[in-house]
Amino acid sequence: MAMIRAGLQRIANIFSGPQGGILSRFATNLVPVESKPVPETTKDVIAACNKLIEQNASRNFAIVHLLGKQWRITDGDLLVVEGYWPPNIGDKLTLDKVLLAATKDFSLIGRPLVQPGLVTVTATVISKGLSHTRTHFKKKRRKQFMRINFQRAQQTILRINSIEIANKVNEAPKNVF
Amino acid sequence: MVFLSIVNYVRARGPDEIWRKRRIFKLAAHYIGRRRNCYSVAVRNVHRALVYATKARKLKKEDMKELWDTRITSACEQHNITRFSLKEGLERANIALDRKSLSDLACWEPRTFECLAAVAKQKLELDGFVDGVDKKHPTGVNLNLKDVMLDAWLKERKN
Repeated sequence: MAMIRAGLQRIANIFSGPQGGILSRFATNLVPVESKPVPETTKDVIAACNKLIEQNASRNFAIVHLLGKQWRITDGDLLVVEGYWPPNIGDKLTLDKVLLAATKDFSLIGRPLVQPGLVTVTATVISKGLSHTRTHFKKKRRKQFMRINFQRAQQTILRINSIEIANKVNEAPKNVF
Repeated sequence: MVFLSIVNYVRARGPDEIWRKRRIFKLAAHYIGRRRNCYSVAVRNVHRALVYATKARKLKKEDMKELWDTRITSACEQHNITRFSLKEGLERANIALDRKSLSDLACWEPRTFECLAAVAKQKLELDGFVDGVDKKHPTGVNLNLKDVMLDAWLKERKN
């Protein structure tokens, strides 16, 4: 069994070895990627980003994950969240699952989340209520079958107060959770 | 309704007939012609409309999915990458954006979308992944991949 696995491993290595494997030649007609690191440029980019954050030049937006859906939000947005959700009116929340945060000049892409503490999204629950009535109506022709039901879903309206990006891009993440 | 003679009482189909019909007529108020005024025609049309409305709640979700896919595809073509490889690349790079947010970015934040496309493409090249699904080559502008620098963490192969 071990031999078979070793053999498979070798075959896999041929196809996807260190330099991209032999298949990479068919993948693209571009020159192979140079993988040498460019630390100076990286540092410059990060410094530039931190400076931009400090200047607070443009408004931020973020993509957050909330109740199984992803929302693109910016300051002052209203979100209508449908379904059962415990928070009450007036509750102040921080939305922690930030998948992506960006300004006019740069984007922070999370893998899958942006590191905790870097982006702070605060929101307030401003109303809780019910949606409009949805009619669930079924009918079968010539079969004397007809059913009607009415349903209203719970709705929570959220106001996004602020989206703040701290100017510590590339600092070591602190494990808050 | 008060019935003074027993004959009329027998003919009436119950006291709630007017209200039963009114319920249907209310829903048919915006129709035109006999569909609006004649109960036997109105009730058929209202029932059909309600069935459509019920089924359409599901169809709307499918339609939106299709629309988002179309938007992502066209945005990808600008950057010479197919939607399939974009999705594969993002998944390998552990970026969990869904259709809705990707198409949103493609529409309103094209520069961010360009970054995502570049990351996906670079990741696929590092992995030596071949997009064997789509033979058709898009006719967009090739992304400038020289500026894409992926962390060491991202360069690890995803098993």
